[in-house]
Amino acid sequence: MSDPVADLGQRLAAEDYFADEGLLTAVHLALSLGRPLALEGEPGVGKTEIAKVLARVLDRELIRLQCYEGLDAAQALYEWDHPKQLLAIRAWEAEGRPVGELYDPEFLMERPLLRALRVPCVLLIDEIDRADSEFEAFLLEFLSDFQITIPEIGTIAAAAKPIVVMTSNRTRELHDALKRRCLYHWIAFPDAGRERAIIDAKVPGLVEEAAASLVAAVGQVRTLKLIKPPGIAETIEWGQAAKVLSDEGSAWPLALRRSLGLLLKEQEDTEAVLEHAEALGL
Amino acid sequence: MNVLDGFLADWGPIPDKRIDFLTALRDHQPPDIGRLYWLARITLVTRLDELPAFDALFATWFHGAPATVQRGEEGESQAPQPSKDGELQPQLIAEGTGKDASVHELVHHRSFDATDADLAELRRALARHLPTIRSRRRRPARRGAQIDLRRTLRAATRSGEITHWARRDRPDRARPLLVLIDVSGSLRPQVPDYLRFAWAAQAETFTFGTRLTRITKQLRERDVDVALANVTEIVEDADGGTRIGPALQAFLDTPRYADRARGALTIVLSDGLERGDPAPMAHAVERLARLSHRLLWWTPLGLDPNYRPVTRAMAAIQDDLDGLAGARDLPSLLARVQAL
Repeated sequence: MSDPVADLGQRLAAEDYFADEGLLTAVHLALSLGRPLALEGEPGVGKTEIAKVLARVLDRELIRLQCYEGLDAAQALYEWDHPKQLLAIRAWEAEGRPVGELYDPEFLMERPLLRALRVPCVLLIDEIDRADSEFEAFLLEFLSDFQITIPEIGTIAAAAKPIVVMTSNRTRELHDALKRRCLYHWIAFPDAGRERAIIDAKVPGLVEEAAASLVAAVGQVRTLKLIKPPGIAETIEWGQAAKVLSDEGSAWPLALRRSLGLLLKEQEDTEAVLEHAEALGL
Repeated sequence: MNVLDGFLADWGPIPDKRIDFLTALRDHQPPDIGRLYWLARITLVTRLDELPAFDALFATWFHGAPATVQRGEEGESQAPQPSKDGELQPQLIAEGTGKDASVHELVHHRSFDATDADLAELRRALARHLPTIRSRRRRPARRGAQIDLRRTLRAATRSGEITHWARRDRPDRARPLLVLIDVSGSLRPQVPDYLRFAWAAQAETFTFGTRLTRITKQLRERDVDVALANVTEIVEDADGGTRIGPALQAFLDTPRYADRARGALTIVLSDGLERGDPAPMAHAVERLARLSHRLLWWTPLGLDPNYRPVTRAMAAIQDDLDGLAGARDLPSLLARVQAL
């Protein structure tokens, strides 16, 4: 019997996403148990990316709900299209017809969560920690039963269960009631082998020796106490920038060093890393 | 299966999680112990803080568990480092001079007994300066993002025409306020004014010394003196020692208490002089900061211009605080509120 988790790993790898066993198991369970997947981790470890890749692999639409402070039900679930309702009233009056049903699905503007119930999709609820904690209450019914209750119409249930990926940068602690409905996984920084595979896939044409020293350097940089330790996204950008410089004729160590700004986003961090430049092989 | 039962009994997951785990096992026979670890971890663990305990428990029940993923040491700020030549900066050793908080100074500085006028002013300041949050309820408003269909139509029935859109908006409401008051011996002179402050704010209030006491109900009195008398009656650990870390942890471990910090402005009134190990305090403050909208730490020592948070406990929590300032009596508390 083939191992479904390993299969999933290969399908994701075909889309250039290299997940470790923990994340693969988490995704596999989310799919087989039909539970939402709550992902936490440092910025840039690929929390959002996994949802995008999943949508491609499963050939489903990706619906994204970006959370922000003040986000409310009208922007996330549904909203009544009042101008359209009023125009309909006028039209009915003008035609001399009796006033019809005002709270008809026709006047409902669907927002990401409602849309996710109507089409098979991967729903990405991104950076939920940015929304107010009250917003989490709106998600409870949605995440446990995959349905939304609209007082004027009734309960709308999902035609096909959406696959839900919820990400958080852990700036705020999520409510236990919300987490209870989810599978939880903390995505750690990748080990050297996996990061190398990512670099090879995302920065094609990078010289072997340069890729090795880049991955080693990133691994060590993360052990320094930095304000913002670089994520995978930064590693990739750094690799791409260094490749551009070296294609223009810079030597390797120099190209890496000159493009350091793409790896580190704080002046203090850059200084700290330059102090250790010798040890990092830069 | 006995091993599994024992493991589950020890971890004690809520039923939903237990069902998830067992379903996952039924549908997916783990080929090795590593996979079993991930199946269990993903279905049973809901918080990053639980991971170390989970890993330890898993290792005791199952041999050959994979080496757990290393993650960054969180919240472990380092104790102040000596300078390069190995000497501590003289001023770094001092936790302020303590002069402003000393009994002697207090006799001179002793603010007059709180008058009703002081308290009234404090209440006004609180109403004006506390942070707000947008309400989830909608109210009719002059301008707003949403059209109020009902009012628009009602206006239209009078004139027969829709002449304008009536609108609705989400008005601001006060953020919840949570006050945690240190009632240990070292803060004895300040505690009455701290309590008056909590009374004026009518905030969710707890006291802690060696244990944690909820005094919100006791403060819900029209008369401030009655409220303070009520508090004196139930707070049993006043003027004793301090165990800030365990007391805050007790607060966080009680879900119905910890919920009060969610999205709230949290103010801790304490000198932060933790007698014991600073690690539990640092851990608790880190979590409190994540729950709160903003976490402020007001200390009587902070009024001294030379004050630096260099005790091991204060240095460890410094990065988690949104503000560290001085407050000793009603005037200084008033100044703090006005600076919010």
